[in-house]
Amino acid sequence: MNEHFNDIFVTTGCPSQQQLLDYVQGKLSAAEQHEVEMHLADCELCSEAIEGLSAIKEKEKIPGWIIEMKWNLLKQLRLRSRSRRKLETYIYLAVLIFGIILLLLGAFWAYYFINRK
Amino acid sequence: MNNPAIQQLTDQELLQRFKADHNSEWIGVLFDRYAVLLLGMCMKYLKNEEDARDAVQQIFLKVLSDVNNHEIQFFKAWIYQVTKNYCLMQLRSHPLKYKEEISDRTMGEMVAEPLDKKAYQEKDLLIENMEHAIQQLNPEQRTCIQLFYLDKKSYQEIADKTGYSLLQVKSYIQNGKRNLKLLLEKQQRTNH
Repeated sequence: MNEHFNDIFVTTGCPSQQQLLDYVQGKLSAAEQHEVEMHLADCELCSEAIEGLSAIKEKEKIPGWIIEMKWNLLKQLRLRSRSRRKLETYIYLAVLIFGIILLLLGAFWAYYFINRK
Repeated sequence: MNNPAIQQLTDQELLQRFKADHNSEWIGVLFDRYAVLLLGMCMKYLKNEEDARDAVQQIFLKVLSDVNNHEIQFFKAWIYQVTKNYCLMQLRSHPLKYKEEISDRTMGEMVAEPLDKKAYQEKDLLIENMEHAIQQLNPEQRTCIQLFYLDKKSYQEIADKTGYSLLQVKSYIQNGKRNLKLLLEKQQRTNH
């Protein structure tokens, strides 16, 4: 039995994002490339990702896209967070005003009944 | 957020922190880990670079909306499902735009199967049965498995040598490996 078959069922961890990019750009050594491909046989997520990344025409642009997408995502999240904080402030103010009105009504009611007696 | 301590946090810990303080920087770290993978997946299904980029952002926003409603144990497996379902929904919602991509095969995957989380436990398998099992594979799978694992050839080299396409090579290796596992398990059961 050839000893190379011993590693057929060895489970490997997912490659890093950089390794994936280097793989699709053909920048890996033969050994590194084989290691990534060993993993692809087990991991549907990486396998599908590599298939899609390979179809991108200008692969050197991918890192720039990632930075742009992250920036847009974080901007949207900050906007969401700001509007949620705004909403929380409005709710807090509304509760405060309602409390003050109740207090005033209570004071007025107490004053009115004390004077009546 | 390039702090090494933060990079050491697991996906679950990052999500927990985001749930606790809504600081978007935790999500930035998660994004760095998965953006390339998701971009590749979206590109595979949507076959359009701009749509794939938009989809990645939409998927992350969806994940963050859902994060409070779900207890996520395996983020990677979960985001894989979310991404796959999102892309398949896009294909179904815009049939004219993606008409070439919609096939019985992809639509049949609408209820996507969960990732095989159970790690292979093939270490227990009897290696001496391997050669016999390999002979039982169909010729395409046997050739690809031998070239890949025995001769350490790359997908491209196997494709060049055999005349199969890259996708066929990948598929023969994946299916061949799965079949080998089944054959070895069967042999193991017979031996006991």
